[in-house]
Amino acid sequence: MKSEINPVRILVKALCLFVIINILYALIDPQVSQVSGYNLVFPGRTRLPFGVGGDPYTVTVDEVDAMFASHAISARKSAKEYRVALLGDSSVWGEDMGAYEMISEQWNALNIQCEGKTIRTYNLGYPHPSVLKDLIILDKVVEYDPDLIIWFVTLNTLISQRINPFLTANHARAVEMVETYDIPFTRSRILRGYEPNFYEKTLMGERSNLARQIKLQMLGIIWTATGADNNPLYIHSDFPSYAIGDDPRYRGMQPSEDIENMLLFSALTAGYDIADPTPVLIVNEPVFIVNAESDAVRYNAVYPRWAYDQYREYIATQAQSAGWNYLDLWNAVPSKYFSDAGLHLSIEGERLLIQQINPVLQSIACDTTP
Amino acid sequence: MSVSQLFIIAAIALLVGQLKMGRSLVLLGVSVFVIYWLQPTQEPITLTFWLPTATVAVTILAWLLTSTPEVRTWKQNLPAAAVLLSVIVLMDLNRYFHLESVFTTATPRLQWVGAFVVILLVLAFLIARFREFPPVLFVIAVIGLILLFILIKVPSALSPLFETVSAFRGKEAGGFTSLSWLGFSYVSFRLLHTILDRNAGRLTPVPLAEYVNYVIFFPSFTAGPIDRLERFTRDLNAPVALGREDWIDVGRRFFLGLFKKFVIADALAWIALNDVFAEQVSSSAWMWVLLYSFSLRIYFDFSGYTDIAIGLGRLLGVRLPENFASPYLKPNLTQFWNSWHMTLTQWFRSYFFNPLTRAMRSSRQPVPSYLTILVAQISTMVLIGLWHGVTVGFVLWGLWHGAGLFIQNRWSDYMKDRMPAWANTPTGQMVLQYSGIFLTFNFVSLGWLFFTLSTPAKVWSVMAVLFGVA
Repeated sequence: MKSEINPVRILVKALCLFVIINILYALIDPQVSQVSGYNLVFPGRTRLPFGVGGDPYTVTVDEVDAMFASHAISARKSAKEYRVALLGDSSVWGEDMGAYEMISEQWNALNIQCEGKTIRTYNLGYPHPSVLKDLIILDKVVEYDPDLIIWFVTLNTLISQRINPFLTANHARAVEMVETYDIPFTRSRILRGYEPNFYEKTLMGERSNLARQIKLQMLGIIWTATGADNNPLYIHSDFPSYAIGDDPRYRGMQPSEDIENMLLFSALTAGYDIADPTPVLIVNEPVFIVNAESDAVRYNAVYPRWAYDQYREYIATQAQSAGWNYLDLWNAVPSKYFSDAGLHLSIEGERLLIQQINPVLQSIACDTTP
Repeated sequence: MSVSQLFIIAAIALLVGQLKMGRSLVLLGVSVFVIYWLQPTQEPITLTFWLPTATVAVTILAWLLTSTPEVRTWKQNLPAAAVLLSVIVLMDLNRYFHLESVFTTATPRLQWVGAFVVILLVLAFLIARFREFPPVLFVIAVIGLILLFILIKVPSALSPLFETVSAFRGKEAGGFTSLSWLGFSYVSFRLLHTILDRNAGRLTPVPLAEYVNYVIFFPSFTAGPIDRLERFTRDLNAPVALGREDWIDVGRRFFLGLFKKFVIADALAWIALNDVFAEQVSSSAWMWVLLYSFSLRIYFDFSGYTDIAIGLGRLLGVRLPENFASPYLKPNLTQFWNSWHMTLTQWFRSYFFNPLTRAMRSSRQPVPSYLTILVAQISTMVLIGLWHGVTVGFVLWGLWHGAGLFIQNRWSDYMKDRMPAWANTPTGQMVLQYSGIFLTFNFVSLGWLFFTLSTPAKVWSVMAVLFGVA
């Protein structure tokens, strides 16, 4: 006898199945972020995935496990490799640059040999200036057996209390860092509030994250086929805005104020603790200096002189007293090698920066005196 | 269209389909509302209102031209006219309602809409005075529609017009770069079908509500299929009686369409060949992967929308015609074109290919049959190309397929009596079938290069990479 199909019954069954799958997903919490075709089907990416502008062929995945799973650092380390992880913000990530133009790839192109090993650098910069974000990445990096960590910092990185999308996506790790290492991150209570409720753990609640992770995997095909992780149409090589004005304020603060207590040095200390015994080199990254002689108020559109000078003094003192490997390269790159008015180096600028760091890198890696 | 818009439309279709009375009028109101709602913002901003309004106006004029005094009575059409006018005025009044999520609030002042309605009424009155229309009026209407079609496909042709209008109004002309008149490609072909059939005496005139419903039927407004008026009105006037199997079929088509469009096609879109990738890829194998992704993406995108339209149509009691029948699994190009965008190819077959071949065959000067086939197939395919857009790429795409169809036709003809014995064995049949599918799919995929890449130079360079001669 032919059984009759009842559409209402189908609808009810479909709804039940949908609810059950969602509940199971929330209860099981499958670690889908660690499932990746990169380093398996596709080569690992040379930097962390980040969506540039409105480029439809890029994707931002803020969940740190998924980010690392797609990165070349997740591939097996060869015995002849001296692994260097680069941490920092957009200047390290290489905003406005192609995947093979930014700092780590230029470094690798030098093919530096050291005691029978090849120095291979990995770009783990990510475009949010936040030392807490860097610390979470550093905490993850140590799982991949680095031989050296070079941590690029600047005033904006060390002073930021902003809750960026990376911190919300990795709020549990962020809160853990803040509490374990006693970092005065004033908004950790807010971060704790990002703990997902039950609905947000279901398939429906996770759909946006999952869609981005699926897109990241699909883009593996494009990454393999083109070697490009963003659309060159969205790469801007020149920013004409050099207007810096004469406003002396920095983030609403006046020149008479002291910024020492706002600098999150404890995050750098935590980084040293987490990385130990892997050496860490902290680099104060170069900044754009409009006209050192004539401009008495600001170095650039981002930093007034008083704030930046204070910061340099404080970080140098801190590095000395803590015994950090510290390199202050704030004025090591002339302004013509910047691609914009404050933060990012051009390709030639990156080259100059590498030249400045290389002797120190080799002294650590090859145990030679610079 | 977004998923949420489609679910809203599905809910509306479900409700309207259940109406026992006044379904045609409610459907009319909803369809007119939907064409305003879905119209993308168009610069100058006032066009966002005027383009859907023009769709309604052109449709009314075409109805007048295709109707007879018997169906043109006030009594019969007043409710439909009232619904049309009410929705247009309501959309215009959004400048006061401020429902920006529904429609632009930059609508023209009511007096402009009033003036437009008066002009439309005068035109309608003048056309309605004819009891029987002179054939020249049909010719003028067809030419007018084709010119309008060309005009919207060639934005550069419209720029001088906008500059003139702006100068007349004493305003800056800036802002106009392209024209996206939602659904007009389909609307114009539905209108041409009714006008040409009416002129040929093949069309049964219908009242205003049925005609406008046919032209701007909201499930098929943006992406087809192109139905035929008689078939559509037959369904529209029949009561909606959905049995269990029908409900299942509706759900299957709708959700399958959503899956095809929003899961498969949208995912393939990330890796489908485009201008940027064409310059970045240097490996032949990867170029093929990206090209195949484009082929599959365009199929799943378009057939997904068709499935959704067919599903929604069923909710309203209208069985829209199929537009795709596994085209990539066809063993030759003729069969591919009999199963790809079927309603468009049927339209061209009815109104261009068949009349042209008839005319060539019956001409006093005998035309060799191969030449008839060559001219008819190439010109038809070039016109289908131009329907998508007036660019060199679409012309070349049409030529590619026209030439392919001609060669396949001649080859089949040549081989008819020359087939080797092995070809008739089951294995031989299978080999021929699969190799035919492989060749056809690859031929069609290579043709998509003209579709997706912006210049012929890029097409040649990608072809060079594909065949390893770059």
